[in-house]
Amino acid sequence: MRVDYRPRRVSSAIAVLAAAGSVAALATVSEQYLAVGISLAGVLVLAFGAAVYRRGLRVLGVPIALVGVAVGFAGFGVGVSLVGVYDRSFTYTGELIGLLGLPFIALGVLPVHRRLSRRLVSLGFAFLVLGVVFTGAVNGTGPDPIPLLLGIVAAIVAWDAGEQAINLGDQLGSDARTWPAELSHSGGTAVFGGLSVGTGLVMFNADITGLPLESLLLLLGAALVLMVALYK
Amino acid sequence: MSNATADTTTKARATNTDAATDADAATDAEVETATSSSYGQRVSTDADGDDLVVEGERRRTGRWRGIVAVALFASAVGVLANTPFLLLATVPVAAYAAYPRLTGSPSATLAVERVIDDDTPDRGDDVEVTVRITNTGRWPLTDVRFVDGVPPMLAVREGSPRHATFLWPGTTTEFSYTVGAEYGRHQFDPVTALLRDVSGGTELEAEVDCDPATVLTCTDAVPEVPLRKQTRHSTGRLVTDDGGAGIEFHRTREYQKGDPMSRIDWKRYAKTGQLTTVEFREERAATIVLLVDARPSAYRASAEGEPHGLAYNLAGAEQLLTALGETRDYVGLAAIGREFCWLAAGVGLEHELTARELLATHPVLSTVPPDEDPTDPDEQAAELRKRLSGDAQVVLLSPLGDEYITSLALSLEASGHPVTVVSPDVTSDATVGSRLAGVDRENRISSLRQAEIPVVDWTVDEPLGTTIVNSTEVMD
Repeated sequence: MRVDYRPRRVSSAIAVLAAAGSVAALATVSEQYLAVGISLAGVLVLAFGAAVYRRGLRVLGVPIALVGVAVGFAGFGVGVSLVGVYDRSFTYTGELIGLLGLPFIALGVLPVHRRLSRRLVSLGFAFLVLGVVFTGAVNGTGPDPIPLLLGIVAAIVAWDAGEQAINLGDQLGSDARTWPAELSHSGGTAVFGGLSVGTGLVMFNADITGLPLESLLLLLGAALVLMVALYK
Repeated sequence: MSNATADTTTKARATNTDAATDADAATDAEVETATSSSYGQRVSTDADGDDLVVEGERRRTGRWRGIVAVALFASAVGVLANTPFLLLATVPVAAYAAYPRLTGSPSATLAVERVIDDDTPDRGDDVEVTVRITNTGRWPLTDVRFVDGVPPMLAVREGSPRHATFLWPGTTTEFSYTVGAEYGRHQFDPVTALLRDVSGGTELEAEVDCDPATVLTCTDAVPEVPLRKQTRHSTGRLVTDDGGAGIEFHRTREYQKGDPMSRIDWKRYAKTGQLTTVEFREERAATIVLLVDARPSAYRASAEGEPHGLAYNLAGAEQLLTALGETRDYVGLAAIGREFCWLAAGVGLEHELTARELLATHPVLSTVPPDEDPTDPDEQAAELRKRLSGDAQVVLLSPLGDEYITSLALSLEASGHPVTVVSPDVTSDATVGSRLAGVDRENRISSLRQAEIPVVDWTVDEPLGTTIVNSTEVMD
C-alpha cells in the first residue's frame, strides 16, 4: 500500500481559518468581512475540487479547484473595489493585503506541489504579516491596539498550523490518526499567543509608549541582541 | 560473536533481551515472569523499563527560526513609521522567538504493548496488529508520533502503523492495523517514537520495544533445498556416486575380506561359485552454510515501500533453515555486511533455534540499511574462508546487487566449496536505471551459471518453494 504524504487535514483547516481570522481581526467595515468570506468560500471550493480530483475524477476536479483558486484570490479584488467608496479606502485596502495570503496557505497545505508546500505557506504568512504591519504603520494611531495584536498572533498560529500539517504529513502520511497531536500543538501555540498578548497589553498600559524614539531604538537593539543570543 | 551466540541460546525464551547486557539471576527471573504472562503483555516498572526504551538523537527543528525576521521587520517598520502600536505588536512575535526555548524538551517515558490476533496465520491471511502505548512519565507528552516496526516482508493492508497523539501521564493510546501474512518468521521491530515539545522546537527520536518481542510465524513451504553433490561422511539424504550402504543399487564388485555377509550376492555365488559384493549408493549428509549478503547493495528494493533485498534474503534463509532442519544436514549461518557474522554448522532443534534467533536479532542482519560505508568486505570474505570446513557447501542468498558478490561466489567455488545462489529479484522496469540494474543482474546470473554455479532466480511474487522446484527441474 502506498503511503500518501500530504499535509494533514485538521491542521490545514486550522491554518486557513486562522489566516482568515488574522485578516478579519484587522477589518473595520462590513465590506472587508464580505471579502474574507468570499476568499474562504473560494478555498472551500478549492478543497472540494481537490477531494474530487483524489477520488479519481481528475477531469472534474481540476476545473473546480481552479475556480476555487480564482475565487480565493478574487476575494481581495472584490474587497478592494467595495471599499473604494470610502474616504479611507487606502487604509481599508491595506487591511486586506493578508487576504492574498489565504489562497497561498490553502495551496500550500493542499498541497499543489509537495516540495513547494512549505514555501507557499511561508508566502501566505508573509502576506498576512504585511497586512498587519501595513495596518499598524498606517493606522497605528487608532485607539485600540488589540486588533493588531490578534492579527499578528492569528497569522503566526496560521503559519504554525500549516507547518505542523506539513511535517506531520511528511512523517506519518495521511492514513494515520493524528488530530490529537494537531489540536494540542495549535492549542499550545494559541494559548502562548494569548499570554504574550496579555503581557504586551500590560506593558502597553504601563505607558512605555510615551518613551522617546531613542529609547525605543535602544530597546530594539536590546531585543536584537537577545534574539541573536537565543539562536546562536 | 561466539559469546553472543551462547547468550542467545541460554535465553532462548526471553527472545528480545539485549544479548549484550550481563543479565544477573534477578533480571532473568523477572524476564521469565514477564514472558510467562499472556502474549504481548508487559508490566512496566522503572527498573526494567530502561532497556526497552532507547533514546536517540535529540535535535532542534529550528522551525521558529524565521519568526525572528518577522519580529525585526515589524519593529523596524514600527520605529521608522513611529507607531508604538506596531512596536507593541512585535512583543508577541518576539515572544514566539523565545517560545521553543521555554517549553522544555520531552523525554521518552513510554511503554509499548503489541498484540496480534493470530501469531501463526496461513499465508495471505489478514492479521490484525494492535499497539497500545502508555505514557509512564509524570509529564504530558503534547505531540508524540509513532511508527510501528512492521517487519519488512509484511505489507500493511488496512489502517496505518503510524499514529500521532497527545498523552496525559498514565493514559494509553491504541491503534491497530492489518498486515498480510507471508511465509517466514517475522519479528516486529521496536516502535519508533518522535516526541516533540508543544512548540515543536525540539524533537526526540526514541525506539520503544515491547517484551517479549512480537513474532509472527507463517509456516513455509520449501520442499527441498537444492544441494550440490559434496558431502560429509555421515548418513544423510544426499545420494552420492560412492558405493556403500544405502537403498539404491550401485554396482557389484569382487569380494574383499571384511565385507559384511549380508551384502554378498548369494545367488551369484550359487550360480558361479564366485564371491561378489553388492554395493548401494551411499546417502550422506551435507554441511551447508547459509551465507546472507547484508552489504549496502542488498538493501535495494524494486520500489519505495516494497521489501528490500535483505528482507527477502532473511525470509529465504528462514525457509531454507526450516527445510534443512527436517534433514540430518549440518547447517551453519554466515553473513557479511556491517561486520562478519558466523554460526558454526550443527544439527538439532536447539541449533536451529539459535540460528533463527541470530537471523532475527543480529545487528548485521538488521532490516534498517547501514548509515556509513561498511568495513572492507575482503576481510570478512577471508574470515569466512578461514571458518568454512573443507567439505562445507555454501548457499548464498543475495539479490546480486553488485559485482563483488559474484566474484565471492566464484572464488568460493574455486576454493572447493560448492556454491548455490538463491537470488531474490528486486529489480524493476520502472526507470531506465532500474532496467539497467536488471540487465546487470541477468549478466551476473549468467556468468555464475557459466561457472556451473546453480542460481535460483527467485521472482519475489512467487513463494521460494515453487521457484526452487522449477529451477531444480531445469537443472536436472
